[in-house]
Amino acid sequence: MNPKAKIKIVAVALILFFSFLTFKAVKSSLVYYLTVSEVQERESFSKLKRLRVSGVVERGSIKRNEDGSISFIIRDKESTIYVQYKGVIPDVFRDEVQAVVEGTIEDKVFLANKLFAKCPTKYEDDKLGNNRLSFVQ
Amino acid sequence: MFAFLSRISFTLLVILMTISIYMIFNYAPKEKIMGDVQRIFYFHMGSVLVFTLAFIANLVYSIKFLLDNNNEHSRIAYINAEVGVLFTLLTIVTGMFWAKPVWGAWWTWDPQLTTTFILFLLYFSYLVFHKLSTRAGVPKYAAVFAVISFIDLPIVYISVRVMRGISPVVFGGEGGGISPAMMNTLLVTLGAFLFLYIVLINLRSKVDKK
Repeated sequence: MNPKAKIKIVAVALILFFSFLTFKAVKSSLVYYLTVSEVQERESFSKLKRLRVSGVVERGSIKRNEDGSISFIIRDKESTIYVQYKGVIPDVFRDEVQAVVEGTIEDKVFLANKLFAKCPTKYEDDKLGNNRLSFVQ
Repeated sequence: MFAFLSRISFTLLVILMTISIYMIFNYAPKEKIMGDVQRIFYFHMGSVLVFTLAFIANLVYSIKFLLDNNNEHSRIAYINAEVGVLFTLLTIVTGMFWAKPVWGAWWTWDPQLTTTFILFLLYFSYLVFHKLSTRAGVPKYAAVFAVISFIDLPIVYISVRVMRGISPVVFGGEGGGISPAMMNTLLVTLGAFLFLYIVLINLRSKVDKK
């Protein structure tokens, strides 16, 4: 086979590969998460269907259970969902923070096995602290 | 003239990078919620600036090459892509170190992260494809591939604004923004990375000519 034909094959293969990748990416991350009301509006979900839901953590709703799991409520303007989660808790996870949970719904309870906290979009000074790195002081 | 410019940009790089690193660790305030880890932000944005400039230059020189068939343009397009790929990788790595403590995960398939990963794959493939097609005597194929790859760059920027994701919209979004001291630090850091880009391209260009 001459080198030109080889290059053509490589070019076509690359284009096919990236088209496929882009298609998959757009399909799966076009809706990265559902809102709380979108989940509550739908009647039922299969127990096997994995969902990603985002909402604000209700003030005072975070409870630590004896088995090391935590439970909390996330809300948006209209509805709320009760969430149970066991695993690593992000540093910025607290009341009123935007959280994203991944898992399944069973009997109106969201069983999460992944928990993300969205970082704030406004970066503010820590007025109490020194500007220096804490370990430099 | 060119030698003078490259010497001056090296001096400016050394001065600005020193000031920038000092500002990041001593002048910039600690972020209220995220704490010290937020200081990665400055390096993260600096890397974003470098790959953006490099891929724009890659596009410009690829188009020039397609128009005038001058091999020098093809070569400049290639070295820009090399620098761009390195800094896309640095953006992803600094982003991961930041995401682990703040979001709680090294990685998630959020629209902006996914499109940035595709950007890395596209230009990494371009590097290989450029060598292959040049060797086979059809370097224009690589230039066309570069022009198509560029489509992903604006998508990286837009995705976070039009699609639901986890990456924050700090600039130009609702309720976003950074404090004045953080803005000063960011501007100096971006200046330092601008000269880092110029110096890297100059140095890389010299390697080829030997």
